[in-house]
Parts: sequence; C-alpha cells; structure tokens
Amino acid sequence: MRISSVQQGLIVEREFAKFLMMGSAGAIELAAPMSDDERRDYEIHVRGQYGVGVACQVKSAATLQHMSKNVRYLNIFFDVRAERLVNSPFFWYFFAYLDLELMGLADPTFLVPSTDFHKLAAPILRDGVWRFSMAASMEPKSRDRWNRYRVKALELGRALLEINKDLKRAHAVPMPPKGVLSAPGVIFVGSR
Amino acid sequence: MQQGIIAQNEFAKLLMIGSRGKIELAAPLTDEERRDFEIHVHGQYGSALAMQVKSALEIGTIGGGHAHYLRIHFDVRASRLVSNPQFWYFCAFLNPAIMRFADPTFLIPSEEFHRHANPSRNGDMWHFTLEASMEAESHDRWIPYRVNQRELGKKVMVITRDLVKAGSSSQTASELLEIPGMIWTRTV
Repeated sequence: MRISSVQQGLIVEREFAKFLMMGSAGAIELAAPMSDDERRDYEIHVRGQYGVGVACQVKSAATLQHMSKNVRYLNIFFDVRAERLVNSPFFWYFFAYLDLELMGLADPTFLVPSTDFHKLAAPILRDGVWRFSMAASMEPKSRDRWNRYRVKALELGRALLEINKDLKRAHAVPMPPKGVLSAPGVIFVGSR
Repeated sequence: MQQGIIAQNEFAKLLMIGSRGKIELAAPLTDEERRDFEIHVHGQYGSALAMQVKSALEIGTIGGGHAHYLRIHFDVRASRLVSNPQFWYFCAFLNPAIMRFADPTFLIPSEEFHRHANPSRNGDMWHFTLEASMEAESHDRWIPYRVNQRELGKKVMVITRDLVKAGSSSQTASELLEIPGMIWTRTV
C-alpha cells in the first residue's frame, strides 16, 4: 500500500505552501479558494500588497519515468475542458516530484506560466477537452524545453516574490499627475 | 501562525508517507480541546489518537554548554489541561535552513509531558517548558520519546495499535463486571 492520490495531492500542495512561506521569510501569503471552479489551488500574494496576486495550480507525480538509461523524467499529464482553460500571466502551474523516500519534494521543481505551459506541453484538443503532457528531465545537465522553468525547492519563495514583482511592474496602472483627477470636467478615456 | 501551520502540515505529511497512507488525520473544526489532529489508522474506528504539534524555529544551548537543546514553552489554562493516554504532544525543531524538521523529533504522552516539562502553576495557568537535547549522545529524560522523522508513521501506528489493544482489554473487563455474582479480587 502507498499513499493515495488524494493524500499525494494534499501533501504536495502543502509542501509548496511551506516552501513559499519559509522561503519568503513569511512575506508570501496563500489562500485556498473555497471552490475550485477556476482550477486554482492557491491565490498567492505578498503580505500587505493588494491588487496583485498569482493564482497557482499544483501538479505532482510520486514516481519518475526512465525514458532512457540514467535519465529520469517527471511525467505529468492532465485534461482541461476547453471553456475552463485559463491563459493569463497571473495563472501559473507548479510541478514537482514527491520523493517518498525523502518524504518531500525533490529538486528541481518547475514553475511555469500558464501561457507557456499550454503551448509547450504537447496540447491536443479533442471533443472540447484539452490534453496536456509534460515530460521534464530531472537531470542536472539537461537542456530540455522545461529547463528555464526549473526552481530549487528552497528557492521557491524568492522566485515567487520575483514573479510577483515583475507582474506588478508589467501591469501597473499608470496614474495621472496629482490633481488632474480632481480638476473639473476631466474625463478618463481608456482604449480596449 | 505560519510556523504553526507549516509544522502541522509537515507532521501530517510524515505520518501519511511514513505509514504508506494508512494513517488518516483530521483537524478538528474547533480547537477547544487543544487537539491539532485526530489520528486514526485507515479502517480502524473507535480509537483515535489526539495530537498537539509544537515547534521551534531555533535550537540553543543551556548555561554556556555546547549541547543543543530544543526549547518549547507554552501555557495552558488549568481547566483545559488534558492528561490522557490518548493525548500526545509532538515537538520538533523546524529548521529554516532546510525548511523541514531536523532529527530527532519527540512524541511524548501528555501525562509524561505534564509531569516532567518543568510544570509550574500560576493562578489559573499551567506553564510548561520542554528542554530536550538534540545531541546524539545525550542521556536526558526525553530520550525514550525521540523519533526520527522517517519513523514517525510507523511509531504512531504502534502507539495506535497499543491503544486499541488497551481499549479492547478494558472493554472485556467491563463486560465481566456485568456477570451476576462476579466478585473482583486482587493481590496487594
């Protein structure tokens, strides 16, 4: 007997939360949505910073595949109904191998923006359902397509803080000079 | 707050993986009885182990010595103190450098903890301070309660099994009491 997939999912979600909280020295806060209608496992924000948050979905495997001798791969595949697919810079995936011997996440883990993942993970649309397959090498010397998304577990907190900072910068709403908003007759016009 | 949740989750993870999924944990919706978890073995009902998880983010030395100690202090209102064979404490050093517990961890029955963790009472409050050596060569009183993280699942399975056994023998005894004319004798 080994742990069930429900236990595995729970353990990995909590491992992820632990590495974010401890790795950011407590700066990162996580909230678990009451319902999972939008496929988010966590809403993540930096303490005291409102308005910018990253949503994250956590996926894991408790075994690695040997696709060739001495090369271990993290294989993950899942389906998403087309109307529920979220492509957003604020929606990320976290992938990890739960090493049952180590009783924790093994390095490397992977933090992938949803837009990149949906392009790179061999997407197939069939009967209104997207199927994604990821096969990421776990070997230190690998240079595969998932290499740039690698993060060591102990670095996850810092990586998420960086992502949050970049998102905040990229999506900052430019504010007009002080006093303009209160000037009589001023109308704001936005482009779509 | 974050530390408490991380320590509880870490403990739950070690029990689940270490028991190969046989241990199930439930978090009470209210904490009025100071239990962080109700623990039972999958499919085994009627006997649950209650556990409170305590952690420290650093270890220190005592009195200028070299040995490292896990020091955990907490207060309990006297009316809420539970000394019961089914209520245990789990105490551990949550090492920030590796972001997980360091060995050894400690699983201590509540009665033992309340007797020996420097108990002192001030009005309505009990104060407890655990000072357990983390050194391999230590011979302090907490040695029997040391458990390496990888062994936690197995250890809790044994504790639960012993409790079930003790519970079933006391049940047999209670059935005997119902036999008409039964007289209990004992040697002094």
